[in-house]
Amino acid sequence: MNPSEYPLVGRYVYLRPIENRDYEVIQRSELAGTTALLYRHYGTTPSPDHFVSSLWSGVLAQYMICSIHSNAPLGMATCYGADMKNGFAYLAALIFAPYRRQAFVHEGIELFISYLWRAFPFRKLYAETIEPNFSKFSSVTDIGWTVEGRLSDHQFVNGQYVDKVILSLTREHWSERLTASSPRSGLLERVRTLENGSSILENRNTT
Amino acid sequence: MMSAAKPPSPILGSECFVRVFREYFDFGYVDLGSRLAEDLAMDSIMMVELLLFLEELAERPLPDQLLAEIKVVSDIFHYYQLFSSQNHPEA
Repeated sequence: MNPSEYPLVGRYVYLRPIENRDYEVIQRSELAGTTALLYRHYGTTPSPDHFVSSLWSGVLAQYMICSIHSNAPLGMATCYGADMKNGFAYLAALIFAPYRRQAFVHEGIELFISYLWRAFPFRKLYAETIEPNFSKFSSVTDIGWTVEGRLSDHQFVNGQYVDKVILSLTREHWSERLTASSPRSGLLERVRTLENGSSILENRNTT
Repeated sequence: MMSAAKPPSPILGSECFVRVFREYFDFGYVDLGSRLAEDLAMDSIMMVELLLFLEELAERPLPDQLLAEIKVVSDIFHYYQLFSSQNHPEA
């Protein structure tokens, strides 16, 4: 499939509708390793039929995130629980395990969010997560997401009760985020952190 | 009105850069001579991450062919130094 056939094309990734052949990849990713405990099914193992139906339950829009260079599926993004009267919906995203450290994959989520603002008259998007997952991407608060709520010890996950965190992103904050310039390369962020650390040390040594 | 310019950050040395690179990609042993494909088995997805890294350093889009010229870790370090010094000449 030629990525240029889809309007949702970025610099590194593109979005395409989910196809039957994707179900196996998604199921393997969702039900393997720690993801099985920390993501949507939280330790349960749905039957293949139920898995597919649950994948579409309450879904408004859902896309696979694929590499432009290799066409490999890297993850998926979902909009569900849409409330058109009140102008909000929920966003979920799953990056497949081998690619979670690759910051450019998150361009797919940005493409998806931009698509949602264009296609639907939402005021806000919500994302729900649990504390062990939130700590891995808490930097989203730097790019417009706000923690709106926290349900203490809400959910039993991986041997303990953990908080559920509810995040929101408004259309206005997203527009501001698009005009902001922040590095998206995880590698560059780490390099910059060390560079700044060196700078602080040098300043200390010279004062 | 002139605002106080933020002082440029120093460029990392090769040893430090290699360590960050190794930790970021979860590699075992890496040195400047490590070959990206043969020694580190970097796949196309990892190479795109490198392209993003270099583009953000360069502050402009780079041709995909640039990736084809990058064979070993020292090539990445070379571009890191080059783009850092171009955009922050006093660093």
